Amino acid sequence: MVIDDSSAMRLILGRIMRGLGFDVVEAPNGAEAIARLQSGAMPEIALVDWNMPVMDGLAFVNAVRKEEKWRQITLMMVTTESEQSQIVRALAAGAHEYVIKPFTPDAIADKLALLGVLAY
Amino acid sequence: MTISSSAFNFVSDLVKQQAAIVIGPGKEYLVESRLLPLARDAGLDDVSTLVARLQSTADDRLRRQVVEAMTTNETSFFRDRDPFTALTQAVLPDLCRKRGATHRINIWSAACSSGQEPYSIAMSALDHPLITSDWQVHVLATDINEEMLQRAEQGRFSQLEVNRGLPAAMLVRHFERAETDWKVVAAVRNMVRFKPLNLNEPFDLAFMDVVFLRNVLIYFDAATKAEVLQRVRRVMKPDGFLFLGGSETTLGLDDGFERFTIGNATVYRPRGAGPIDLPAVSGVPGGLASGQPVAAATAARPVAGGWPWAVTPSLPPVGSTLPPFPAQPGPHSTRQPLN
Amino acid sequence: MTYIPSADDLEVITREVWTSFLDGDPAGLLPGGSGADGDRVTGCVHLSGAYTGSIMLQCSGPAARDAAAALFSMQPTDVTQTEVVDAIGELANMVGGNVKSMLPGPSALSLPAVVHGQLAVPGAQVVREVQLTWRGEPLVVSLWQQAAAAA
Repeated sequence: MVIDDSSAMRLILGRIMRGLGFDVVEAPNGAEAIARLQSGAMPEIALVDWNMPVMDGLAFVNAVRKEEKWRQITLMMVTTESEQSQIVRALAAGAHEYVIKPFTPDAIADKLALLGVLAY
Repeated sequence: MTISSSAFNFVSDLVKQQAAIVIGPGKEYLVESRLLPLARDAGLDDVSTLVARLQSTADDRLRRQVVEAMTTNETSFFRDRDPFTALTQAVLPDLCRKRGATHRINIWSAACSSGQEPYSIAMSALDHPLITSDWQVHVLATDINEEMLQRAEQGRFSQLEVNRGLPAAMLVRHFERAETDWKVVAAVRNMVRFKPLNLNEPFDLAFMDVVFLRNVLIYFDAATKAEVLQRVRRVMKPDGFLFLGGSETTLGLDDGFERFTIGNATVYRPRGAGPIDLPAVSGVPGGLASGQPVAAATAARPVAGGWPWAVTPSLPPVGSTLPPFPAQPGPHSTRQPLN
Repeated sequence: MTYIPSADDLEVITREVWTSFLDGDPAGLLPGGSGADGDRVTGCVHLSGAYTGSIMLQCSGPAARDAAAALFSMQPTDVTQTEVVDAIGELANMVGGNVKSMLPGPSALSLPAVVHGQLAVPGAQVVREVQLTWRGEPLVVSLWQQAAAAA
């Protein structure tokens, strides 16, 4: 699942993930992503932007990590927030990995390999 | 528009033939992104057209450019991952058991380039639960290129570089911001010593417990490869460990080494090194220091590559005088979980 | 004296964004330029908190269209207003977010806004600016600070 309010970013990440063999579902903010999950979507991994309207990425991560039924969803933030303190906040909230924008497709693939979601 | 699978296969076969480097499936985006600038330079619309040209003409120069574009030494932290997993989960624990008398481990990163490899090694050691403050880990980082060494000594990396291969938890633990870059913290920096060294010439070093000699032998011819391996073996402890690059091997070059598989990684040890001392099954994920605030979040994931593994030596060469091994799968044995 | 990113810092950040998403070739983005006049597009993000101000990315209409085409993998002739707004907005977001991380924190980054023309923020002044050229077109990245937000 690719969650970002920028349609350009959803396109770019979607393309990378499809190229790596994933089916991709998109959402423009955290609230719509939660709605998708509640209606049964169970992605292996969610790429989550931080700054989005309605519900931001950190709130989304918090919401997902509260639910037992969504335990197995890997959460990777993909965001411009690049202060050390922000990364720590995201990891402490339960994000499994963190990619800083701008990124290259290799960087995404690397992180997926680290997470065991993709064979290297 | 993504490259067709026949075009992808053509490129990956070409690279395998010319450079002995394997570009596996799933890396179509890599071929696209590396070859698109080349296609544009040649005045072509896209990568597929470039490949079509390669297939239909005998353009040697273009062929070479394509191979070079695909094999440019793309260095990153924890490159290829598996050797570092093996380092953390088998090699360091083995050495912690065996070096009790000196409490010292020497590790050599023998073509350290911009520094990602030695710093990755240092971070692995710093995070290791068995390497407590009474241990000394010395990482020697050498390279023939002095400019690179100076750069590596700075320990500064761009945002794009730290995005590659480095777990976010390690980024926040071992780096600090420095303007637009990230810089390794003092604890990491102090564990690594940088020194110029030409592998092609005789060298004299302290005895090494672990050597990383990755993706440098490919630049030498067979005779030189054999000489370098011999020189390296002479500065290794008899029970030490050697890591080569993914597609590299000592087979046929130096038969003073024996090949082992640890998880998905291949490691070479001087012949007669004896068994590798694996720690008891504990479920401690590799590479995490205890007591760190982010450990809880990252511990939720199972460690990729599976833990624990059996360590499987490959079959001894024909005619050797080593004691017979129990029947083992072939050289490319897959990992076997102990549970 | 708190550190404010230099013009070089702004250039490095812009370059990283550009080479990741728009141009395989780092030489496509050149230092120096005359600044845009006439048909301009400006993307803007605001910061509030420890630092209050804005980051703006300003380029010519044709450059904005080219950027959108590259980001969306489209032909420039097929690009519509929607794509330009999203592309320039996201580019401003990425540049702005990285500039934010070099400024005193914590500050919150707004969602981006994109306008045809030039943007000014009442009470704010440019504290840093870098002029670049991309594919022959001017590109200006500027950092603004709210004058009233002193200490």
